[in-house]
Amino acid sequence: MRAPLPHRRAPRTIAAGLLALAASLGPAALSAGAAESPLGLSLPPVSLPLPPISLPLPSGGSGGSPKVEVTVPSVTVTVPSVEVSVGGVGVTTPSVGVTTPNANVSGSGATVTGGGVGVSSTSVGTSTQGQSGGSPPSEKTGSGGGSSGGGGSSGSTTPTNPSGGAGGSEPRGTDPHGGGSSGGSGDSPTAHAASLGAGTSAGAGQPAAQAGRSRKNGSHLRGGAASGRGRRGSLGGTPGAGDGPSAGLAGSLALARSSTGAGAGADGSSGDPGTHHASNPLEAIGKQIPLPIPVPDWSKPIILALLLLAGWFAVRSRVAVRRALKLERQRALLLKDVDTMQEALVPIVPARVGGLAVSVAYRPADGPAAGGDFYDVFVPARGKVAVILGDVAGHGPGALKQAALTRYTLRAYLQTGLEPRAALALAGRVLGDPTAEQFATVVVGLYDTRDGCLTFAGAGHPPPLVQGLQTREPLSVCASPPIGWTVPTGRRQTTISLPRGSLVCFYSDGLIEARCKEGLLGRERLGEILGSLGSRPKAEKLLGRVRKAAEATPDDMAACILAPEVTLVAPPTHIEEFEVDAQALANGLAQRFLETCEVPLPERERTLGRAGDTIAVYGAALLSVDLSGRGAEVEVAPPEHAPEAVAGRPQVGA
Amino acid sequence: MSFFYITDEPASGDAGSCDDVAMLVAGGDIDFAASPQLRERLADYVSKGKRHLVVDLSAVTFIDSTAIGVLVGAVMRLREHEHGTMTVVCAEENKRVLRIFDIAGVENLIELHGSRAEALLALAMAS
Repeated sequence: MRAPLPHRRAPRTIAAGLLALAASLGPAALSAGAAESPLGLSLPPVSLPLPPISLPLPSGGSGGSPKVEVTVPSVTVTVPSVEVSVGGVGVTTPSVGVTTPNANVSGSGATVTGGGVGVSSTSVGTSTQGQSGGSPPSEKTGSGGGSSGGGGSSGSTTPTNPSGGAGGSEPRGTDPHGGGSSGGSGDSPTAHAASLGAGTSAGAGQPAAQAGRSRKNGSHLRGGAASGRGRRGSLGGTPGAGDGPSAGLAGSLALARSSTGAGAGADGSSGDPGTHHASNPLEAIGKQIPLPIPVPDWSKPIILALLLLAGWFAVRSRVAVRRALKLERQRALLLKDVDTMQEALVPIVPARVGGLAVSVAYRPADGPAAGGDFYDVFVPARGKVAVILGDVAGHGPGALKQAALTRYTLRAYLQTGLEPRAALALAGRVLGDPTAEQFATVVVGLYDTRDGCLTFAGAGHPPPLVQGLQTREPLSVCASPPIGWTVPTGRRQTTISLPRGSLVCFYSDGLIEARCKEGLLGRERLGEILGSLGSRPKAEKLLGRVRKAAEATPDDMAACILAPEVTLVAPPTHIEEFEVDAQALANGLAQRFLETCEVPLPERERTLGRAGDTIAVYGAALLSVDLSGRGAEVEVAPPEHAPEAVAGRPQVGA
Repeated sequence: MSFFYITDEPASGDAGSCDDVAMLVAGGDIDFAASPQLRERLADYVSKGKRHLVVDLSAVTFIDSTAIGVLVGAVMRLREHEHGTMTVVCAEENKRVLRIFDIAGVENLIELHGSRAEALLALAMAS
């Protein structure tokens, strides 16, 4: 007997089910279920490399004659070697065909027992061939045949079972189909298929019984040689006709449906299958699902579930794609809006304005328009170029609003003809925030193209870097507070002449506060970097160099570089102004200013005295120190914007 | 990375009434990130009834305009509601911070002293 082929039962777990599903889709696979639902499985031609089995029996009448009496006393067809080499059988059917190596034809009736087809496992088809059995006694192998059905499910259990499925059939030669062909029939593929289908059970169930029967009759099939699928009992003598295959089919079908032995050759060995199916819940469910595809029942629920899942994913994917597209569109629009807003803070500036080469650049620290830096370069009046550069404390939308407000307020004041200091002073009154939380540091410059002088004033903001001057460096002493603290600002102002080759760089504190290894970058280092950029440095390049020099630039960076393009033969000019009030006089600020301007002591005393007088009358006094020449010439004058002029202080905001 | 700390110390010294004097010591980078905490501490003192704040920034390596704005905001509150004062202590050697204060133009708003003793003395004399 051959060793049973590995058998396969219909899987009961889902995992197994999936595997089986895969298997069933394979070309050769025939699963048990397939038999039941007529599958459109086209079986590949199964060629069973059977060795030629020659049955030295006179072939009896063909099919059907139930009683073929071939008395072949001892037809011992030892067909042990009837090997259907299963290996070669492409059918992965779990099912094992049982070959009945030894077909024992029992004497009496031409019985083809052994449906020859031992079906082994579930799917095993059994091909039987009945043979007639002429010679009753001839038994080959030992006992009844069966060999094996090993393969299939049942197979294992019933190795002895001769006929797998079919075999069961009438022992007594009644078997119409079974009959004849013995050996020959063996290979018919169809037989196989059938057997497979049927087979499943065949092997198992009844085999024993059958075997028994068959034995009695004497016709024995030995299933032994199991071969892949079909097996054929190859028996010799039987006259019985040759359609083994058909017999097999019939048998198997019968098996599948009913356990009874209805069919001709085959009979009911089916008990097994029935139970088998019933016990698989998947299959039970599957039967209720009308799927238009030829798949086993048990796989239907799984397929259905997978289909539903796939559908769900498809829907979700579609929804996600649409949403993503929509967001993408919205993002583009928002970025456009952001650009527009950013332009409110850092407008596009022409490269040349009124005799000045202008270069501006802006790098937000946290993405577009996220910071509070702002600048502006414009022509407020004929022959003038105004520059505003500032930084609102804080970040985010609030900073954005405050920055825009500050920029346009200052711009308006400059356009009315106010000079930088006055514009800042007025803006400081107008844009006060009592909590001092919302404020802007800013520096405002006004260039006069006729005399080539730049006048600038700061409010809490670092003064511009100036290079290439013929005069002293501008002084930063006694700086004015930012706009927004509700304290007077716009008190200091500096006027310098810009000779050809000089340049002025307004910048926000993000540049000098860039973090380097040694600490902050600092104004001096910024000056060095600016000096290394040539005579016409680009602001963008300056920011790039700062970024490179620093480890981090946590704040926004804005820069505006001006360079005079016309040659003016103007006398060197340097004037420092400071508007003082009683407090500045009292706390020594005025004195400190004069000291820094290197006003000699006697002159200083006289100046402070005159300032006190002026303050007494006007509430404030403008100290003006001319540093153009060698010495320091001081003037004291009433403030040019008398307090009355800006008296009623409008409130901003709600 | 920048770091900062803000602590308070008992305002010892010659200030007559220590009850309404508070001493705050800060160090490191007092910038945008540290400002909220600074604001909270200062507001805390003001609400506790401290009328005179002494803020020692000698150990501060950097202070940005936001933090200065917080200091000024506290000055405003002290002035308006409590008639109090704020004094900032910053050693002469800390040129960087002094320069930042210089540029910010807070001379009229915040009193600067070179040492705590000096600040407390000025406070005592004023009161």
